[in-house]
Amino acid sequence: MQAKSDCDGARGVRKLLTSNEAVAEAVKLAKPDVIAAYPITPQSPIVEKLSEMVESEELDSRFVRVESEHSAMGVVIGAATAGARVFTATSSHGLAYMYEMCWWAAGSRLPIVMALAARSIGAPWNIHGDHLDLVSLRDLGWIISVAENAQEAFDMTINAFLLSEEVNIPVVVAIDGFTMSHTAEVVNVRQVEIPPRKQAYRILPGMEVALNAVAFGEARMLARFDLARDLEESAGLIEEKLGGLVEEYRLEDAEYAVVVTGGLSGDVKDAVDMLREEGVKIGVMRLRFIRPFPKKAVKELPSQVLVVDRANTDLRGVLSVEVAACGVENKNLVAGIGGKYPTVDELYSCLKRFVDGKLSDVEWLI
Amino acid sequence: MFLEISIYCRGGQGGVTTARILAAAAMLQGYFSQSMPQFGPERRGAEVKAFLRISDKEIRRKCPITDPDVAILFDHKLRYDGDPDTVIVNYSSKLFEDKSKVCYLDATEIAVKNGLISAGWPILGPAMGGAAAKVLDLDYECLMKAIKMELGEKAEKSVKAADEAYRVVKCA
Repeated sequence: MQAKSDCDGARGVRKLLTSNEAVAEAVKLAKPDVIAAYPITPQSPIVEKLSEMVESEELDSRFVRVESEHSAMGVVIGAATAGARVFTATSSHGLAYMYEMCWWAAGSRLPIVMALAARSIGAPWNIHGDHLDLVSLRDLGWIISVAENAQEAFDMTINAFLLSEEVNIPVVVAIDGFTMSHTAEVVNVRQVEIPPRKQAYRILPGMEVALNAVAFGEARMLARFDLARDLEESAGLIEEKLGGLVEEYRLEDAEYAVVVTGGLSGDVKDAVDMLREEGVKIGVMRLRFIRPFPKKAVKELPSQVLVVDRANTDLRGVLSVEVAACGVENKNLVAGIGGKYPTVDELYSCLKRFVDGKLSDVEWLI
Repeated sequence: MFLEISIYCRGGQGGVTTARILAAAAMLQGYFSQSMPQFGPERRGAEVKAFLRISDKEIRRKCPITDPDVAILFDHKLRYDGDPDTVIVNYSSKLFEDKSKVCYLDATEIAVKNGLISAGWPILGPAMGGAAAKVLDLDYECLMKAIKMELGEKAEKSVKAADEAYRVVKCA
């Protein structure tokens, strides 16, 4: 290997970061007023890094150590209500414990950013990556973005603050547990100025208001409708300014398409390149967001579609069902549950069987 | 250029950090790189793997490495996967026999000499990393910069061990 330069190949801005570290670097740039979190594998390094930054005064935030994830979300809801920029992070059972408060965050229309290092949920016990925790967020009214690599974890986290504060909806940035959260990659750490905190309402001491009082009938239903509509309409801003809901890879002339999200998309792209070398017209639609769901892009997919899922709902994967709900019939491969990560060769043979018409309707790559 | 490298060590010997330092050295040299611990119980003494990829193009895949181009063995009794072209091994008394190209050094001696010991165990990472950098043709200065970048104030002994290993590693 030839030395290309005087060891400044990083050109000052490129750093070797895990996705956990990339999220923490991005949060630092957003300068949150309040960070609250409870440690859980594989998310912990995010908030460990942030607490170091606070300790060394590199970051001027209030770091609140709480006794549970339920309280972590409670603290950020309270702080956000008073107008603070807030951040938290969790995984798996931590998200499950936090779940109730995630509904309150969405229903209160508060700008909140959370990172999720996506991990399996027991039983049986497992600390490894899949999207089972991530998909449990689908029905709440959160915006859900899913990064492919550490660079995107960095970029999406910055964008999450902009987006959340623009539309008054909480945003989660998901990274795959371990294969991203603990994998170091080269990241271009841009220096970005994030505009001051913006939100629809603030409640400060001395103000006489009742928030989230009992709302029956029309009032409750209307609040839910407004959230659903605004979530759907946030697609416009995402498409226009934040990199879009999907990434299309080699899809322009494709007869076959693979739909996938998260870090596994990289492995799928490598497998797709192998088939392209054999002359197969195949491409990838990578979902950068699963809420709002990219319905328009999905409806424009070629006729032969394979959806690769890391979470199931019944025998089918969750994304496969969502794609089908857009009127797009698809074959489904469920893979990588609990960290049973497929190799590129395994993905290649599944894709090859898909193209040859030999893949069953639903298959689990066990 | 696309290289896949697997490190085989025991928990506490510094294999995971070595993968990260080599990835940082490759990055400083202008390459794309990726380091990934094998995810599991990284207990002291248990067999631990770490993976490293170096490429001149963006690295997209994140799957574990099952057939590395280069295997780095911190202990000659550890087994490696697949059919590597090169094996770098911590071994001194006689040549480690293998069908691959074998590079070797006494990393344990270098670690002990430089006081790299934790809870009675030699930390072999700096010496094995220094040797691997040489065999992989990574630039010496980039390696030194990477060690300092990753280890900060704790880098001094590791820099010395890596420097010696870079010079003494032999390939048969």
